[in-house]
Amino acid sequence: MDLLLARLIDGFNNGLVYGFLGLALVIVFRGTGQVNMAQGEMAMFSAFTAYAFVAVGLPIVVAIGLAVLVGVISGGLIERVLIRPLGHGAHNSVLLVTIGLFLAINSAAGVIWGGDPLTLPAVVPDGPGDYVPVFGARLRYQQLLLLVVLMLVLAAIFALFRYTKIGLAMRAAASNPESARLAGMRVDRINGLGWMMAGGVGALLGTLIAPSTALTTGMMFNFLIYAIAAATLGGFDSPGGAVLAGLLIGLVENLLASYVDFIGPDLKQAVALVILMGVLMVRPTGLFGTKKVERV
Amino acid sequence: MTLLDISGLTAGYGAGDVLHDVALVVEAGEIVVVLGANGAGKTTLMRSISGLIARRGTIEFDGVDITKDAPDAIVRRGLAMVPQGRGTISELSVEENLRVGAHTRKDRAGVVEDLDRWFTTFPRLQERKTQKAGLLSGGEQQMLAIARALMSRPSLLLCDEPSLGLSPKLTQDMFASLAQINADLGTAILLVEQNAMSALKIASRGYLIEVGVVAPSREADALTADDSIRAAYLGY
Repeated sequence: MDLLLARLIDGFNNGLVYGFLGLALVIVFRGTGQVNMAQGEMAMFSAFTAYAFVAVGLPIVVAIGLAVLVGVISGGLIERVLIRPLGHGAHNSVLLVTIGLFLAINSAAGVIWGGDPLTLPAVVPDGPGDYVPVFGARLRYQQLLLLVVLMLVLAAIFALFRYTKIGLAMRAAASNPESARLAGMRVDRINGLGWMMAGGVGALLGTLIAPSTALTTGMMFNFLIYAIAAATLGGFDSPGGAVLAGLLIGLVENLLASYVDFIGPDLKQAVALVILMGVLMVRPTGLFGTKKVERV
Repeated sequence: MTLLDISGLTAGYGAGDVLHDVALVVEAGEIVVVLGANGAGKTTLMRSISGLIARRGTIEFDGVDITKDAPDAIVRRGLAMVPQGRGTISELSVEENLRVGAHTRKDRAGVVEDLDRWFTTFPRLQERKTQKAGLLSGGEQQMLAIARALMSRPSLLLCDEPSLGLSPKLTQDMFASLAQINADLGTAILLVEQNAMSALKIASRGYLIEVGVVAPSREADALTADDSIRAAYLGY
């Protein structure tokens, strides 16, 4: 029983990360209809940025704040300089550019900070004794923090979409770009805003998980695959869907790997992708994606 | 007063031009109709005026050259378009669609007032206020599209084949609504239609467009009376 709980918590922790990064993917996707393959690397770079701020003597919370700011700005810059010039509907080009960006950011981080793992301090105490006992299992402070921040980010995004003018504009531009333009919206700028938000969300994630994953250039690589799975499973246009799907994948994957012998840790990733394929065969729009409703 | 003054307009999509040297004028508060067969270039004309496609020549709106302006800048000047196929933002509710139309406006009170106005004008929209717009019927979507465009309080409304896909009865209602809007608000309307006779009934002048060339305008009554329309549509 204790072991089951511990495994559930492990899966939940992983799922948080998948959902968090999936959320960033969804924010970009809603605008430009494209997966930003470099989203994970941008988050990794942000974690290193925070490390650099800590290295010059800033407290970790300030360093994270600055790293998020840098993440927001670089998200906007990338959209403006690399994505927007490709024009509307250049899906393949955008995909290639973001893969290129993935490699470029990864190498740049390697050149600047080297290949050895570094340590980013945690915001909350992260020693061996810093956990909340849950029926004998351990929920670490660091993981609780991640959960709380993810929920806050999700709530903020929900409120933005639901209650603000710019949020309505983002939804309109995602649903029908041409009508949005005809209503006087600058759709390009709205998409840029999406990239900025995703850059900030990614930076938060990178800086919050770096203390537990160790700070390396490869820290986000696995997560990206799961995050794409989470975003797809969630429906790709639903922020809450991505988070829920991320948690679901984390839980199922961990349980299957623990209790089904022939899967084990080796086939873990395959399990996630098989689940994904299964769901998409039954529900092509994902679990929470909007079915395109149209009457002609 | 001349609201829209187009001269020497040439436009198209990449490889070839669809419109050649078009001249067209809309006076303030007037309803003008552009008639022509499928493929004559009516939609291209509308899209080039609203800034959605590249164009050469001169388009003056309200005394300002808008030939190089982007669609959002053109809307801000007071020229709104109802695109062909209605441009429904299907994922948003009816009310949200209308609010999108008011994107360029800063006066909250005025926006609320206008929401009220269009819900009163089109009670069907009021009934379906919170429904996703994609679930509306064709006629309701057309009402929504017109109301959405008018939410920006334009001085000129472009309508690209508003009768497309509507029953004859709904088409009559829709034209009556346009005439009413024109009379009540003084909004000038430039209408592109295949439904020639109905459109001419509410218009003061009409242009005939044939394979990208627009003939000089004539009085609506004169156009209704003679054979040039049949010639434009049927080629004899």
